[in-house]
Amino acid sequence: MFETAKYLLYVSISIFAYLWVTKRFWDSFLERKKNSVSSVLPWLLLCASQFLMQLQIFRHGTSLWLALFNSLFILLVVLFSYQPTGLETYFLFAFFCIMWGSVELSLYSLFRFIDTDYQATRPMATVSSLILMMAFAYLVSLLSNKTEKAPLPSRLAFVLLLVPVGSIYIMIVQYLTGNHYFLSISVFAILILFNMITFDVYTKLSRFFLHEKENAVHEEQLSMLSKNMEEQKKLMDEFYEEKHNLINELTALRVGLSQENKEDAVKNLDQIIDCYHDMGLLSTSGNSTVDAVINAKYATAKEYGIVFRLQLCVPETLAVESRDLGVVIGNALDNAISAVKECELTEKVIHISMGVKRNALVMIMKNPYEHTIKKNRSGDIQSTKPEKRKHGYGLRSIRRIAEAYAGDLIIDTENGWFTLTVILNLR
Amino acid sequence: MLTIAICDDEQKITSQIEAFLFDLGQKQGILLETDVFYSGCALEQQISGGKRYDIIYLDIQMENGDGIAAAEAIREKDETALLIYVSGYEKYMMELFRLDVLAFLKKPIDPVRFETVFLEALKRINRQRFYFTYHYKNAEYKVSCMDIMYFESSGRKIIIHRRESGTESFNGKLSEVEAQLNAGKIPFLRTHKSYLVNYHFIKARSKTEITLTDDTKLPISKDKGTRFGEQYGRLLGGEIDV
Repeated sequence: MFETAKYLLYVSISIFAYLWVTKRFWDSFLERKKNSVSSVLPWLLLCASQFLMQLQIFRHGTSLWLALFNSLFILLVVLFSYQPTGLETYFLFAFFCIMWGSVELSLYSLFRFIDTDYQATRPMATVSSLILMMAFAYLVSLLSNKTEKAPLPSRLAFVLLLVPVGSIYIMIVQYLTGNHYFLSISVFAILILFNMITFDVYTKLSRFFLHEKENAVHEEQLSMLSKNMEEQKKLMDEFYEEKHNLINELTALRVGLSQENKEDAVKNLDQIIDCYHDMGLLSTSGNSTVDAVINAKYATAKEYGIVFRLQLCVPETLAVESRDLGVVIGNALDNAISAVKECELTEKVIHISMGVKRNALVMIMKNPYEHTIKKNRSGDIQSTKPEKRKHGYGLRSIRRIAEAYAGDLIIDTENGWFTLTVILNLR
Repeated sequence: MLTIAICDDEQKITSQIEAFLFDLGQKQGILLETDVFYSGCALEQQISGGKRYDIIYLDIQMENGDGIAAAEAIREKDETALLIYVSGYEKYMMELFRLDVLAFLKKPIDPVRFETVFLEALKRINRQRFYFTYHYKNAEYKVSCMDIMYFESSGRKIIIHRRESGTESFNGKLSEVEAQLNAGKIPFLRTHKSYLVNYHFIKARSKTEITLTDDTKLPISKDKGTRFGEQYGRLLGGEIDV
């Protein structure tokens, strides 16, 4: 019993690392099921089985049966804790088991070759195989397209891999120079722990930096839109002023007409018509922010020969922040314009409807598209632009704002028409 | 037969609308009775007197009398009349949108849009015809769907909360009721394990609850939340895309 207690630290960390590797690997490929008794139980069984296996190995050596049992428990974990996706899952499982099995076997043989003292080399082989598998699981999670692409330069990734290599080196040194067996085992345990921490922290850091970048891009978009909107607001105010003037001029004209001065009246009318001929502002929804954004984007759309069909009815005072409105409409229009400008077979048109119903602002944007829409594993639409890192934030920004207003973003892509519905519930 | 009120201080507009309606009535084969008013007060008086209209075309910026006030007064007396605002005005007040308006028609009135809106109004009116049937104690009952605000389940009992006067109950499972109504034209949405709500009586929603037209609040459960959100969103979208 005392023997077992000595190795308890080492055994518990090994089990932890084992579970870590399994979880990391499978998280990269499959969706986790919600926590429930049936999804947590396989993990517990795997934990117990690993514990027994470690004990067994320490005393008597590897047992093929135990290894098989372990694989069975891993399969249970995959089937009950995750959403399996058919045949692909089974191939992945086979690959996982074979990979791990081969790594362990080769390392055992390697260490056996170096030193036939089983007691000493066995833990080293286990530790190094665990460390290598951790690095492998981390790499797999980086490369799978389920996780968001972290902005990690490849040089740094290689540097990061020095940690597991270094750990194995330290372990060998400890073995060669260390005297106290128990201390060596605890060193091994800590090495495993270090690797786990490094990989986990690094993943979290990358995610953090990714979010920071997203926020920076978002802020940039907002300030650009604000500037745009200010300009357009000015234009709209001028427009309303002109309209007011027009009414006055027409009233004066009316007086002139009632005095039966036909020729003068016709001349005045001609003047007015010429003066107001160029008032070509497109959007008259009733809300200056909406008009500002749509008119601004229309300037770009016009150059590609795109036509807007509008059905807008929005109050001026709305319990939605102007800048949120701007981002939603601006981003949606940007996407629509880039899709429509490539269209060759259909009419280049974008339909926009906006209104207020059931205390919610509803926007529907419909446009034809002729390219293929790519979705990543979680079903999110991916950017088609070459610089994937800088763009592709459009739909995400809209979704973020919709969530802030307890609303929804609904996308339909049937029959070559892309329909975007955004609901913002008014506060 | 449909009763329609047209309220606008410009005779040109009222005649135009009457003409449109006459054509559409012929095209759809429906009998229409139209009453014309040149002020909000006159229309209000008629409605106070007990006259009911299926559709009301209302100009919201008439010269004497506030169109908005007339709309509010009408809504108070009649919850079910379909309101269609007609307006040449550029800027709209938020209050206008609170009164459950079917649509806005901008002046000058586009005949195609007028027809689309009218057909949508017809669809709404025809909804009255849909019924929900259930069995209780060896008898079969029939309730008009537009009379049902929501179903609530409590144990094995289902309680029907009606728009006017009270509740009725029967034995059953809410999921079966949901399946039965899925085949119908009136959307009932499952917001919670115990609630099945008639979409047309939802006035507003927040992340965790919905408010009905009579200000009752019902919860939205996390479980059903995403599906409800999507269905609700699509229905809202359908209302705007008219």
